[in-house]
Amino acid sequence: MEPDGTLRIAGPDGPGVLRARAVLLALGTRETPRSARLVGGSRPWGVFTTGALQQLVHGAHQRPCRRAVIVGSELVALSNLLTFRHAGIAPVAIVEDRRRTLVAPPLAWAAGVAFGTPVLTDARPVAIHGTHRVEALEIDHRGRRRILPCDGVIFTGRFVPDAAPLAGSPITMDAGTGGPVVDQYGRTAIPTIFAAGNVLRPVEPSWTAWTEGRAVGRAIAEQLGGRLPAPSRRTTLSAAPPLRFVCPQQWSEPSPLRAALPMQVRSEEDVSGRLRFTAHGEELWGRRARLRTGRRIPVGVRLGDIASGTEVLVEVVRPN
Amino acid sequence: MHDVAVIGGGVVGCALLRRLALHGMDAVLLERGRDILSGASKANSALLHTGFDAPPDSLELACMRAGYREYLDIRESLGLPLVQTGAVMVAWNEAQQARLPSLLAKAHANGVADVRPLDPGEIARLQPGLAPGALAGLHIPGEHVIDPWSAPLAYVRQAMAHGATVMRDCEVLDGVLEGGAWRLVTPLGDVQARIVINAAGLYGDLVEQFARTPPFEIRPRKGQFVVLDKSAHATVRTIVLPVPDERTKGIIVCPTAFGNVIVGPTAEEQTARDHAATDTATLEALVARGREILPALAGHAVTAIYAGLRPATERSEYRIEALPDQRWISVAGIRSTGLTAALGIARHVLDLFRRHFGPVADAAVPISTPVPNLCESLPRRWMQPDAGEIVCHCERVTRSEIEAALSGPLPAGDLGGLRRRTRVMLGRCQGFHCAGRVARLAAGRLPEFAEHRP
Repeated sequence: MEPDGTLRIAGPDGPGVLRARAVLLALGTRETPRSARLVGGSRPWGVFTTGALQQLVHGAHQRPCRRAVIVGSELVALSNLLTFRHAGIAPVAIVEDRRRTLVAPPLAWAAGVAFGTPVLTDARPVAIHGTHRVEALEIDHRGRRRILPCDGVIFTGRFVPDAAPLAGSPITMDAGTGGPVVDQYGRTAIPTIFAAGNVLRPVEPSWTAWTEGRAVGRAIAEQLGGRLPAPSRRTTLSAAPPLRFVCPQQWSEPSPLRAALPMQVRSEEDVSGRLRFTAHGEELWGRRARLRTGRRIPVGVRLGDIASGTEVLVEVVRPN
Repeated sequence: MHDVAVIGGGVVGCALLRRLALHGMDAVLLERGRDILSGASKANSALLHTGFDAPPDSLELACMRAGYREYLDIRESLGLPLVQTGAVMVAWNEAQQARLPSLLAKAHANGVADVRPLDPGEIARLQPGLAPGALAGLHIPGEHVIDPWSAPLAYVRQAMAHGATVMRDCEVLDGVLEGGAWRLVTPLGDVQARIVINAAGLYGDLVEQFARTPPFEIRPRKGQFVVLDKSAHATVRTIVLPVPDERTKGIIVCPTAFGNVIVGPTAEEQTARDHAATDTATLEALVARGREILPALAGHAVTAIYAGLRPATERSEYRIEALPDQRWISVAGIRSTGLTAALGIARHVLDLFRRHFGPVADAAVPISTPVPNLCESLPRRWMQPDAGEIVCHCERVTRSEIEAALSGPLPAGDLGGLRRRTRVMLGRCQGFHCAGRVARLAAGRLPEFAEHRP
């Protein structure tokens, strides 16, 4: 993307340039592969993300492995179990490095019962072994080394916005979400460029992305019709650790159009306390909340016509 | 009966095959892996070295200098890139600074006359954004970045154009000198050759046993690397070298021809020849070291991790020797400088051949066999108006490039070979988006995609 919002694209007819009165970034998301997790060992065939595995199985009708370990316990780990069943792959174990699985415990329990798959928590992948093909995954399980013989390792979840084309553009990025900073209408730092869906943050189910796409689409129509005020007055929200992010990160002068993106907060770790939005030390909104790692907490804050340029701090105050 | 059998399809074996074929010899390359570059040559730092810090008056230096010159001479006709980054060696403390004058003198003695000292201001101009504290340095303008996989592929394809044969999946199990010629036993049948060249890299001492009790022992030395995302590329303008010590050249930060940044290598002795494992603690340390040297690298994700094995021996020098009675030439102990030196080694071996095994025909006019360009700073296939489908968006690899790499005179032998020929699945998503498409294009042609689901 050029500084003025011009898009440089590549397609079957070679490179091209696109200019538009409005652009919707719907770049989506992808999982974090083994390499970016710095999991050591050798580099044999049989190490995939969920995305790669599902394409190999459903798109290319392959069975790339027969006995595989699933790394990670987000919802997508369960999707792997279905893919495994479809392809005739035996699940060896689900390995989660936190103390608790990230899907609600009953679901993890169901995985164990329905698929007979052991769920190992506090278990960190240490090394992949094998020359041509994976032969085993070595894990650190509660401080002890264990070897899980297998011929496949699926790294699941840890979604990141697929925002690479925005690198070097004037669009402001949020280190917490990994996506562009947007206001409640999905507008980025270039007001004609909007974003919606999982490029905004990790990660929502497809229907939420679809809903966001529709809502931001309406905002685009309003803006093209001159009915959305220019985002000249933006309030900035920032999340304090252990909160990972608040999204949207900006609040523009409201119009009759409802916010396209409902505000949400996510935490890096399990934490309970008062979740509050403050400006100049004054609480704008707050409630008691129990935040679980990576899970969405919807926020009912109404920023209304808060004075522009105000810095809003989002934090969890733990009880003493 | 071949004139020469070259054992080992690493960069040295590929360069040897080319040199022999250019001189009209009937040469065969025997590679134990499913594709060329399956051993030490698949993982290195991808630099074209001047030899400024090589041991003075050594065979290694001579081969590096000759290899460097020949690479520059032939690269355009073979479609090979040269990213003219230069290198900056940085002294971060007084002990390192004290070693710079002798390194400068060595560079000049080695014939690399354009190496010159740098003050902190010049260092900052050549590589903006370095951590504060650089005391002094050297500029080595002739150190460059190349494509470490396309180069040997181009050598071997030119050799094939001149009549050479390549046999892969072809480990030499035994070798017998009988009636003045070698009979090499392989899973693909016996191969007969008048002369054998041992360029078996990590397996050099095992292969040498066919000819004699090996006078050298291969002691693999592992180097781990991290590859940072393309977003980091703009921050690294040059090869940033530390001041070397006795044991290692140290951790470097440098751009790659493919538009990434690498940080590495480590130097770790190990006994295993067939696997080079990374470990999390070392990779974390490399990421941290990269940020220490160049703080702007913070925040750029890791795209890939790898480890390579240098086929070092118990001594530091190259072990190249002709054994006239055994009709054998050993080319062993080619350490990390092999990518640069390979073409020079091939010339040196041809001289040995001439001296010990009789006259050699003059070189033919080389047939131009350019390989497809993978270098980010040069025109790529996806940039052409008839690019067609883009299969891998991280690395912008087109379907036509994948199909070309799966056919022709030396098609990819495995997925690693396809990756090295095209860059497919080597980007930040590591196949999340394109694995299925690649599998459909390569099904039945690569061993990884052999099994259909029930």
